[in-house]
Amino acid sequence: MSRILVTVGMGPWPFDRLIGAIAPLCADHEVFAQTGTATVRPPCPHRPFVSFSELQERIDAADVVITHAGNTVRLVQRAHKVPVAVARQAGLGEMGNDHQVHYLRMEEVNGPVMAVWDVTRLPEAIAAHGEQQSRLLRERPVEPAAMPGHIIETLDSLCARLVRSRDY
Amino acid sequence: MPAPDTTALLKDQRVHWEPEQSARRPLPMPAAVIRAVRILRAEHPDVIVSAGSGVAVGVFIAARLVGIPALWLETFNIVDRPGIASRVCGKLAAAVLVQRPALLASWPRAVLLGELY
Repeated sequence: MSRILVTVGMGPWPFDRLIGAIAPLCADHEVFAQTGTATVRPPCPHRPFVSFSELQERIDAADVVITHAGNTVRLVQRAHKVPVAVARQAGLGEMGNDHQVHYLRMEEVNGPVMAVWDVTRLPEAIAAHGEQQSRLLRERPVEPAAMPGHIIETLDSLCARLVRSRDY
Repeated sequence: MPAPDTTALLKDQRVHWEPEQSARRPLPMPAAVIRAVRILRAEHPDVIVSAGSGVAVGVFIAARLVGIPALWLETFNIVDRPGIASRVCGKLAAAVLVQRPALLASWPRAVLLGELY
């Protein structure tokens, strides 16, 4: 039995396809789902939204994180874990465009992620996760995040130039 | 609109909550621009920074009208053609902050910030 966190982000688009597909996992694992605006209710503890700090705590505590293919993918990777990711699709009313599909197609080739395109195969992905995680973390290191000092310096310099020059 | 994560992170800040806008429903946009002009004139910021999405369009148009520079932060997981809000705000922005070197060529005024997550 694994501790599984399911998260679909904080946006306004419902992701019923993913939330509806986690029911089989709830029978065999300890699952918590952040469901967003989903209209279906999973048979496990769930809440529509959680704070950012709680999300980070739950990522740290989880054995497996199942996420939409948003920025949470990187957040999970930063915790030295391999996310199981499902892309929202515009054609299914899950997003305004298909940028999650394009991102996940790229990330599944280069990054430490397990992409799931058919949500009925989530149980298989969870069963294979331990072995896949070890391999992907070893073979696909993630680029380091920008250092806070670099971000502050870059923004300070850019803002000062814009305010001083009025050239925009 | 307030989401719990945003509410928690901004709890010590003065906040003007605005409804999300969508290119699929452009009718509320003029009113959003008018509200944004009022807010910018009241707050008179030196610079605006936004990662969007749709709610930023009205603010970036207002920023142009009022004469305040705006910075557009391109979301990390945009690897292909940006969405409508990104394209509009990127064109209105004084600079576009990107998180990957490969995106520097995508915008005429791109600045590499690095990965924020």
